[in-house]
Amino acid sequence: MTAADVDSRPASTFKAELVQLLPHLRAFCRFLCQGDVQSADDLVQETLMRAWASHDTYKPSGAMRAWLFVIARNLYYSAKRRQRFVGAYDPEHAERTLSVDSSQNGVLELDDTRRALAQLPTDQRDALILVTAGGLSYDEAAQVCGCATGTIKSRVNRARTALLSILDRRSGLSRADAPADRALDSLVADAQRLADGT
Amino acid sequence: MTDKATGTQEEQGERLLRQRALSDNLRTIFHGIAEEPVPSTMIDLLNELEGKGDKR
Repeated sequence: MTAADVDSRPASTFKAELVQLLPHLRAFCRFLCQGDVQSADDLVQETLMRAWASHDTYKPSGAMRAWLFVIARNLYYSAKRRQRFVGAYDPEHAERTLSVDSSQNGVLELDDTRRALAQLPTDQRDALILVTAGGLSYDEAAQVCGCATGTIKSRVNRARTALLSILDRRSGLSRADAPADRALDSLVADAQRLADGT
Repeated sequence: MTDKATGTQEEQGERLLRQRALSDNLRTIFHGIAEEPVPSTMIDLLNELEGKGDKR
């Protein structure tokens, strides 16, 4: 596409593309803000305004989604220094989102995954979300994160390993806690029976 | 093939399966959010931006 094509790109087409990409932009911003719905939606609005302001200079390379994600990510990390858009894990929202899976085990696994994600280093988390969940290619994710494609591959790999390790530790803790809880309950019940003289 | 080697293969297989399950979970979370209705304020904002552009 030439510069002339870009200049003649109608605003309505640009807007239509933005509208089409809004759901994915919202999802990516939600991950950036770690589940904080309000902060994420504020970030989406700022991204839209910034994208619109760059409309005339936007040079589409066929990947508007990656271009939007670059804007959102840059806004997020510059604002993070000023403590804006800094989200915290939102269990209430997690519960709503997790309703997409009707099985109780599935819900717990998704919730665990979400919590574990929050423990990853941000560069690894971003790479993993962009490639695995967002469906971006390694090249596009590299463009969004401003690094080499090889770096993204390495970050995704390390993120997967780290996430599984965190989930393993969590499930190990749960398994270890369960018998201890049962043993304690049993001791308390025994003590109660002795005290009651039964 | 030794038991140890088989065990390693099993471990590799299990790791692969868990990685796939993890990817599925991440996609489910991402698309769960993406399927939420887009707030009207966002569409209003785009309409407003488009209106300003037309005036310019």
